[in-house]
Amino acid sequence: MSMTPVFSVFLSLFSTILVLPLAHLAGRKAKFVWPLTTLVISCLFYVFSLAAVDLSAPGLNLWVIGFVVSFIVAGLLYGIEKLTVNTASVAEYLARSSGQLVFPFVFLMAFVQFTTVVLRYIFGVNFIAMQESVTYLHGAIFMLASGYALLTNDHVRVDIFYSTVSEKYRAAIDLAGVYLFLFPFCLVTLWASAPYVANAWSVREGSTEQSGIQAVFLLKTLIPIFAVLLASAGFTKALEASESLLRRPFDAPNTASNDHASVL
Amino acid sequence: MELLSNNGLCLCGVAAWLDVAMIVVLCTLILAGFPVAFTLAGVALLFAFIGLSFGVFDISFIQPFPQRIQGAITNTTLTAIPMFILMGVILEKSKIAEELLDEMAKLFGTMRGGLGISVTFVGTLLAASTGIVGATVVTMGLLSLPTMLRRGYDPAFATGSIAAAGTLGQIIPPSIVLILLGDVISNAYQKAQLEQGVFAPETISVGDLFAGALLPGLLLVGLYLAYQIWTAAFAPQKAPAIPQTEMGSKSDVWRAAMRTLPPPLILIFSVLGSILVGAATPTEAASVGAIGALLIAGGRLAPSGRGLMSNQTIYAGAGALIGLLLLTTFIDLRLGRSSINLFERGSILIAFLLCGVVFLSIVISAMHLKNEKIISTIADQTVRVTTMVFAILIGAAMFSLVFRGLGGEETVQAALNSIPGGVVGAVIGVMLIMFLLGFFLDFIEITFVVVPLVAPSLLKMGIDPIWLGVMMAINLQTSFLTPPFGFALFYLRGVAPDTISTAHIYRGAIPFIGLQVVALIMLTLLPGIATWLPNYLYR
Repeated sequence: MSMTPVFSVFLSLFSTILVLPLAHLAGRKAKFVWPLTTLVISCLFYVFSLAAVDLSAPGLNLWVIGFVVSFIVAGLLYGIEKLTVNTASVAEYLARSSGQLVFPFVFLMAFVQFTTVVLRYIFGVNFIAMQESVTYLHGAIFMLASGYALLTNDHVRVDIFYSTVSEKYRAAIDLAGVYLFLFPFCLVTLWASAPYVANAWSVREGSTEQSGIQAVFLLKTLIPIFAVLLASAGFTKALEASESLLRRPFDAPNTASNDHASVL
Repeated sequence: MELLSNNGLCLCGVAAWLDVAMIVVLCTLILAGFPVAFTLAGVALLFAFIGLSFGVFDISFIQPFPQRIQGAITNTTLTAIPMFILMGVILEKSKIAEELLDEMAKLFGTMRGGLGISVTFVGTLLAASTGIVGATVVTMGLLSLPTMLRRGYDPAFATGSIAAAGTLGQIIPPSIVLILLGDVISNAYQKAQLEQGVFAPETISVGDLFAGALLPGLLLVGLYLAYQIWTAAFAPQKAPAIPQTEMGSKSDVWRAAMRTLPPPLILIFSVLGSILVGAATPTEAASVGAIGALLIAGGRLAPSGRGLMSNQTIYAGAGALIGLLLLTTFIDLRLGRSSINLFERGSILIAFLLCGVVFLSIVISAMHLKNEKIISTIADQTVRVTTMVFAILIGAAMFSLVFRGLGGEETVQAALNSIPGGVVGAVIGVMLIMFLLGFFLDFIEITFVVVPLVAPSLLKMGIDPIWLGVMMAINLQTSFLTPPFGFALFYLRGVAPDTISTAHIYRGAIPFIGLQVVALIMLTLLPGIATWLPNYLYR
C-alpha cells in the first residue's frame, strides 16, 4: 500500500481539521493548542511509521509538512474560532443533506425491486441493469446516511450508564469516543480504501455482466465518501460536546431526548 | 517492530493475550455508551495499533476491510433489510397496527385474560408481517397497556405480555435477525466444511432458516398463550374479563374485524408463503411486502367514494395484482419467445393494462401518504434504522478482521474444545454466553461479533446449521426481554404510564424468559421442531 503524495497531503490536512473541536475545548488558548496537538499527533505518527516500516503510514515528507504548516498559519490568520464554527456548519450541512438525499431512495428501491419481480415472474423479462440498480440504491442509503444517523443519535448505544449520568459526562464520553474511536476509524477507512478505490477508477471498473451498470467504480467510491461524511458528523458532534463541556454546569439543561431508532 | 524486538524485550506473553484483552476491553468500553458500531471499530484499531507495535499483528489483515464493506453493499440477501424495515414502518405510521389491536381487543376482550391473548395474537401478526420489535412494543404499549390497566389487569402481567409479544418479531419469519443470522451462519457453514476438506460445500439459505424458525416461533406463541390462559384460569384477579355490553354487539365486532383483518393477513401469507415455497427470494418478497404495505396504507388513508383519488383506485390496484397472478398462472405471458399466438398476445395486452392499474394505485397511495405528511417520516425512519444496522455490520467487520489477525479464532476454537461434555457442552456453553451477553448487548452486535467466531467451530462438530441458527435466534430474541437491558423493556418503559414502575416491567418479563428457556430445552430435546419443515420443503 504505497501512498501518493497528494493523498498523504489530503489525509494530513483532513486530520489537522479534525483536531479543531478538541482545540476548541481550550477556549482562548485554542490557537496554541491546535498547532501543538497537531504537532504531537504528527510526531506520534512519525515514530510509529519508523517502528512499523511495512505499514507505509502517511509519512512526514516535506510536502505534507509544508501544506499542514501553511494551512495552520492560514487558519490562525483567518481566526480559529471562525474557522471551527464555519467548518462545523459546513460539515453538518454535508452530513445532514446527504442523509436526506437518500430519503426517496427507500421508496425507489422497493419500487424498482417490485418492478423487477413483476417483469421476471409475469413477463419473463430480466433487465440486469435494473436488478443492479437496487444494489446501488441499497448501498447509497446506508453509506450516505451514516453521518446523518450520527447527528440524529440513531446509532445504538449501550446506555445503562450513559442514560444515568449528567449532560457533562455524556459530552465527555462523546468527545472521547469521537477522538478515540470514530476519527481513527474514519481515517483508517480512508487510508485502506484509497488503493481499492483508485484501482477501480483506473480501470473504470464496471459490472461483471455485459448489460449491467458500468459504474462499480462509483459504487466503491461510496466507501471514502462514507468515511468523510462520518467524520463530518463526528466533527459536529465533537464541537457540540466541547461547547457543552465549556458551559457552566448549571446552565446545562438535561435534555436526555434520545430520539433513537425506537423501531428495532 | 524490529526496534522493539531487537532491544531484547520479550513481549510474547503480552502478545498471546491481546485477543482476549481485546474482548475484555471492548466489553468495558462499550458500557461507556458511545455508539456501539464505532466502539467496535475503534477498539479494534486500538488493538491493531498495539499489535503492530509489538510486531504480532500484520497490517494486511486490515486491508480486506473495503472489500468487506463492498460485500455488505452488494450482498443481495442483505438488500432485503431496508425493504422489510420500510414495510414495518409503513404499517406502523399509517396506524394499521393500531387498528388491528383495537379489533382484536374487542374480539377477545370479553374472555378472562382476553386482552393479554389479543396482544399475543397481534404481536404474532405484526411479527409475521415484518417483525420490528420496537414499533410493535411501542404501539401496543400505547394502546393496550392503558386499557389493560384500566380493566384491572396486574401491571406485571400486562407489561410482560406486551414486551414478550413484541419480541416475537425476532423469531417469526420474515425477521431481520434471521436474515442477518442466515447470512452469517451460511458463511460459517461453508468455512467449516472447507476446513474439513469438503470442497463442494452444502449451503444453507435465509429461506431455510425462515422455514426452520416458523414452527419454533409458533411454539413460542403457543407457550405464551398457554401461560396467559393458565394465569386467567388460576389467578383471575390478574386478568379480568370485560363485560360484553361495553364492547358493542358481537355482530358489529365481527363485521369490523372482517374489514380490517384480511388485508394484512393476505400480505403476511403472500410474503411469507412466497419465501417458504421457494418461489421468491427474501429480497423479492420484501419488495412485494413493502409495496403491499404501501397499498394497504393508501387504501386506509384514501377517502371512500368515487374518483381517481378515492380508495376505489387502490382496491382496483389490489384487484389488478390478483388478476395478474391468475393470468400468469393460466396463460404463458412471457415475452421474448419465438411464437406467441393471438390469444396470448391479447392476454399480454391485458396484463400490461393491469400493470398500469397497479402502477396508478401505487402512485396514488404514495400521494395520500404525502398528503398526510407521513411519507418523509417513513423514509426518515427507514433510513435511520437501516443505517444503524449496517453501521454495526461495518464496525463488527473491522473488529473481526483485527481479532483474526491477533489469532483470536484459534483462541475461541480452543476454548470451545476445552468445554467439557463435547458437542453438547460446547453448545450449552455458547448458548449460555449468548444469553449472558444478551443482558447488555443488542442482537445485531451478537450476530456480527459472536456468531462468526463460534459458529464455524460448532458446525465442524457436526451440528445442524438450521437448528443452530434457530436456537441462536430464540436466544437473541430472549435478549430483548432480559433486564436490565432488554430493548423491549426499554421501549415499554418509554411509553408506559408513570404508575407502572420499572420493577413491574422487570417482574413481568421473568415468566416469559422462563418460557423462552422452556422453548430452548424443547428444541434441544426435539430438534425436529426446527429441522422438519425445511427438510420437508427443500430436501
